[in-house]
Amino acid sequence: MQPIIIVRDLWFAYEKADYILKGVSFSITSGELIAIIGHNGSGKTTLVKHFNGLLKPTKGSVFINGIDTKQATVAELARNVGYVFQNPNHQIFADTVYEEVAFGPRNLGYDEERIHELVESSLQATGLDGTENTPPFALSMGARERLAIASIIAMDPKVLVFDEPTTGQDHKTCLEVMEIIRKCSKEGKTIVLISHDMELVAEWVNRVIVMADGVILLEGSTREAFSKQEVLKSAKLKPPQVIQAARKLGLQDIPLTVDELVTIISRDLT
Amino acid sequence: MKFAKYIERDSIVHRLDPRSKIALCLAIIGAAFSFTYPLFMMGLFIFVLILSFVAKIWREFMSQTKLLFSVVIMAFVLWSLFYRWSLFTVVTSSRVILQLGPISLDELGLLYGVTMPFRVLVLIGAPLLIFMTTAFSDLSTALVQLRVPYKVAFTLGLSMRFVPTISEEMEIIRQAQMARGLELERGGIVKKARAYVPIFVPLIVRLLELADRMSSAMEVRAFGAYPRRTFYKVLSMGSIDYVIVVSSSIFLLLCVWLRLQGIGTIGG
Amino acid sequence: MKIKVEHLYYTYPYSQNPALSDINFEVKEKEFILITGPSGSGKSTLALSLAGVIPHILKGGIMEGRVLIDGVDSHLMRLSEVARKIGMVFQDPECQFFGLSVEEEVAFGLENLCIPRELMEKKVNESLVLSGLLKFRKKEPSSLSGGQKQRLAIISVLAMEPSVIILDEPTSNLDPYGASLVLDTLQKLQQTGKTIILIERKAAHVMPLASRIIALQEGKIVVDAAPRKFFADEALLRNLQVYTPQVVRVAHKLQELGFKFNEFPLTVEEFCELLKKLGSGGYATDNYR
Repeated sequence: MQPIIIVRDLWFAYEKADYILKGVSFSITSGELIAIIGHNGSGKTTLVKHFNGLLKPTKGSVFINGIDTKQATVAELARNVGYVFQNPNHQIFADTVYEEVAFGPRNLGYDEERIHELVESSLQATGLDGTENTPPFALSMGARERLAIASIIAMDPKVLVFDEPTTGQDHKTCLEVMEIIRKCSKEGKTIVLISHDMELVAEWVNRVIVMADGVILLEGSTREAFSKQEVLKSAKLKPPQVIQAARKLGLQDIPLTVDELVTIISRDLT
Repeated sequence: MKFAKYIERDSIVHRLDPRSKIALCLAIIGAAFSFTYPLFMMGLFIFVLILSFVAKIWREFMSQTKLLFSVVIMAFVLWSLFYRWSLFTVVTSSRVILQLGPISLDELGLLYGVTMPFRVLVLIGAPLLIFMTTAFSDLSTALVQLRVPYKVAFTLGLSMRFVPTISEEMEIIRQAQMARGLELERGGIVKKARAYVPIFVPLIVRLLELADRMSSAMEVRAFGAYPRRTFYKVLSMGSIDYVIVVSSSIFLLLCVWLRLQGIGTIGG
Repeated sequence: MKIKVEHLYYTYPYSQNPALSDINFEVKEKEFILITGPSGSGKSTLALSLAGVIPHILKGGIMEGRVLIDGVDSHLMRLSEVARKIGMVFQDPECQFFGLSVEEEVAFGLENLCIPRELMEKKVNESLVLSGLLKFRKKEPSSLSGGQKQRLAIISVLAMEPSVIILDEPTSNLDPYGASLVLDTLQKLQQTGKTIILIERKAAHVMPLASRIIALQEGKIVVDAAPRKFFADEALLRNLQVYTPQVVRVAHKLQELGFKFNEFPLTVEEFCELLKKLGSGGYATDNYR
């Protein structure tokens, strides 16, 4: 499989020499579901903003689907990379849900028929079908989060970036959002997820990139990452309770989910 | 960089009482209006620059005044060529230096053209210097101690507090909408204005939300509970502050008096 | 200091359905109450009613029933009187700072209450020291991290010395480090004997601190129980769709498989201890230290 995102020795600083990213390199293959985790200020969001050109490398390069981001505008890269911001209230502005979701595809220059298709399918995918004429501000917070996702999915990008999609949401919405993300992944979209919810990452994501202080500490499977205590400590990450419990109990295996721990314990007790 | 943001440094200027800084600023502004003489105006501006150096913020100050560059150039051109149409100029005959069709550039024009941009720089630079060396809460306290009603000073402080918030929120919203393909660079004025709707709507919603929440937060801290209130911070003037206030006042009076004597105007 | 809520109903202006329906409960001294429930269940509305914001600031809604603060109906009190007994910290750190320096923010409430300056200075110093924010005293709150901002909001409210402090999802907008700062502060607070009412959706760490959990659903109280009892009821949790700590879920599943816990675990430590004691061999043996 071809890498759809290539990051090559990326350095980034807003102001001279105060580097937030220090020589980051990795690639993401098409169709992967990957999470970027690390302490606040480790550079996760800064890194991911390079994928749609909101930030341009100070040194090094980023290639999206073969395009060098330094040569493309944000609007051009938006065709390939959809970015869902953390707070849906930072993007909602239209009079109706339909118009809100149609905004993105319209900016990409699609004709009304295609726009209609895209809007309807993304509303379906996010459980918002039927709300086309509702004013977005009348929706509950959870519904607004799904609306924000719908408006990006409607642009039909190959890559979807989610910046803290579940932070500040209630439990029900968290599950809904993760289901939507999983569905998108099954449809072949490449998904990059930033989250500081370690439980969520362990449960839903197989591959992670661990960052700390602007560098990548580890790139690998979630299980591998959570087994390396030193790495987690440097990235100031606290593993989910099931792993904390497994450590305390002296277990050999690293359970990533509730079910895994239950299986291990019940096996050991019988 | 945020415009007119307070920059924390350890300098004499920073440590001055805000009231003496206000006095100094008013004196400089008053002097800038009293005279219309190129060397004097340049001198005033250089004085402001020296102050920024003493305040250890001259680099930031310079980069912020650089933003005025285009205004300065425009002022130079307009004043030198069209000063005769201004209400404030004394029109006397003058030697023509350059003739460009119907428009002529003469000596007097050149003098105006040099003076006016410096006046703009001084009028904006002096308050800018104050804002960059004084925390707004201190300015607020100073106003209260100068007998400005508390609610007025507090409201001013509150509004100022929103300025960085507005620019931060706007930047996030702008990025979020650009990520949806919003084109902000191209297009004529009408197109650009419409392009900003997806930025202004969420911004205004957020500001209204903040305002609403803030009023609740203020009330649960008993704001306005009583007609009076006590004050935690008290500013006191040091000897250097008094020196500045007195010398600023004398300087200003001197400028006004000289001007009334007819000194210090171009052509006069 | 007691708060008693009697048959409280509240409907927001322009709203069809009541946000709160027939709420009845009592808050006694030194309790640590955790209020939880899905979005829209009325948690914030309840908090605002307890703090007096409803009805004093939020006008136009329909309120029935009453909130008695030390026996006095909140309608009959001025908000400033309520503020002295009940302090409130909001979810959004941005809305709790008014353009002052850190120390002035702490003093703000005291100034409004006309506290004399010498006393103010003492209180401000104490608060800053206790919260670890002393070195930031002259700085602007905007230079603090999210967790520090909320800490500042908490001490600013505490400076007014209310006996009850209500916190409406103080860690929602924070990263885990910031959240832990706030939760540490709450732990210290509890030790000083304040009554704490905390609204949170994901408060795994606070579970052991809470003396009581009240769960709301569609404006009604559906559960009012001690944490252990609350989390032991699996069917209830599933119905409420509230966040459940992982160890609790593991314990539930193990119970389904036949393992019995004599006490229900709330934290990782408790869970491991209980497993080691588990009757039928296994964890009590040498494999697991």
